[in-house]
Amino acid sequence: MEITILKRVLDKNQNKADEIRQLLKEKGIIMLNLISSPGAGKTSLLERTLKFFAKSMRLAIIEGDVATDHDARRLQSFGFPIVLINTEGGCHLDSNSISKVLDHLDLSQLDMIIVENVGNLVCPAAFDLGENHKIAIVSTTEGDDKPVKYPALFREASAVILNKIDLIPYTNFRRDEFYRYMNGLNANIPVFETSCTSEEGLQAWYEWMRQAIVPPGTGACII
Amino acid sequence: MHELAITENLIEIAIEEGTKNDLVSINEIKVVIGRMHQLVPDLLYFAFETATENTIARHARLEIEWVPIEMQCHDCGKIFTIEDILFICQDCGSSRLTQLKGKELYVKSIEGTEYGNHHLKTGS
Repeated sequence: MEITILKRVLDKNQNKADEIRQLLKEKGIIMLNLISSPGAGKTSLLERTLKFFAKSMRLAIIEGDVATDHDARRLQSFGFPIVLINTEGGCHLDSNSISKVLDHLDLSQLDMIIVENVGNLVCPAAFDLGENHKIAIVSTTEGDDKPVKYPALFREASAVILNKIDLIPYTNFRRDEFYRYMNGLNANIPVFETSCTSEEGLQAWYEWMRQAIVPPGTGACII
Repeated sequence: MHELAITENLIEIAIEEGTKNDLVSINEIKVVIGRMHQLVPDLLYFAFETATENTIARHARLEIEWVPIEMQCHDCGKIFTIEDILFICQDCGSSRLTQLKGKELYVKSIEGTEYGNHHLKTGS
């Protein structure tokens, strides 16, 4: 006996993600989902970002890690609420795990939630967390062909951060190749070249974040 | 290794539907997967074998229908399949493209043995 089903495999994850997106919309909160390979600089970028916005934005961090609370502890000193999700080996966060920890945050006191996903460029791209924007972070030491190897993420990202640009002279990273791949995948999104060590390029990223929390139609514009 | 999570989800859907339809065993699960998901076939089959253990799908075959990545160009209207992952129109070189296919990920159907027919089949 054959039974036709036609049901999306990730329906449960998608439904929960849609619920989260709706809840955050009602509360006026924007959620970012930071995705990169291990060591690209997600936590360093967050350290800089939290320090910069310490007094001007109400942020919360959801820290996804396969094990340990090392990253969460690095971010503790900035005074923002942080919740840790240990996936215990799991390679990505899913919407169910996000939904559970949202109870630990006071949603009436936030402008933005930043999720630091598990370090991995493949799996996190498949699981919608209810975020408004996926942010892909890639570092120059990983090579210039990351976009073409992980098209799902780079096609869906709202912005890309190219980190560790201070190290370009010591690597075989080719900027023109990176942009050729990037333009062939997703030509219309901003790419922020940054160094979390020298702080170069971070202002443009902060400005993008500021714009991200401005509700549409409130008169703010980028010229 | 999102193959494991995805396989667990598809088996859960298949078993839920199978149970709802009084199946005592599932012999085949057909899924449709777009190439954009970058799922590795061997990992899917391996995860499938492990995750179906001790379920009504333990003897089931996983049948995968792969869907290539198909795009349409905004500028010249050309519809084409992406082979080399560079998302550029093969005719006019534009990168303003809409994805038509390749993001599919769903359970298409299952095939199994009903409760009433179970004894007939095992007895024959």
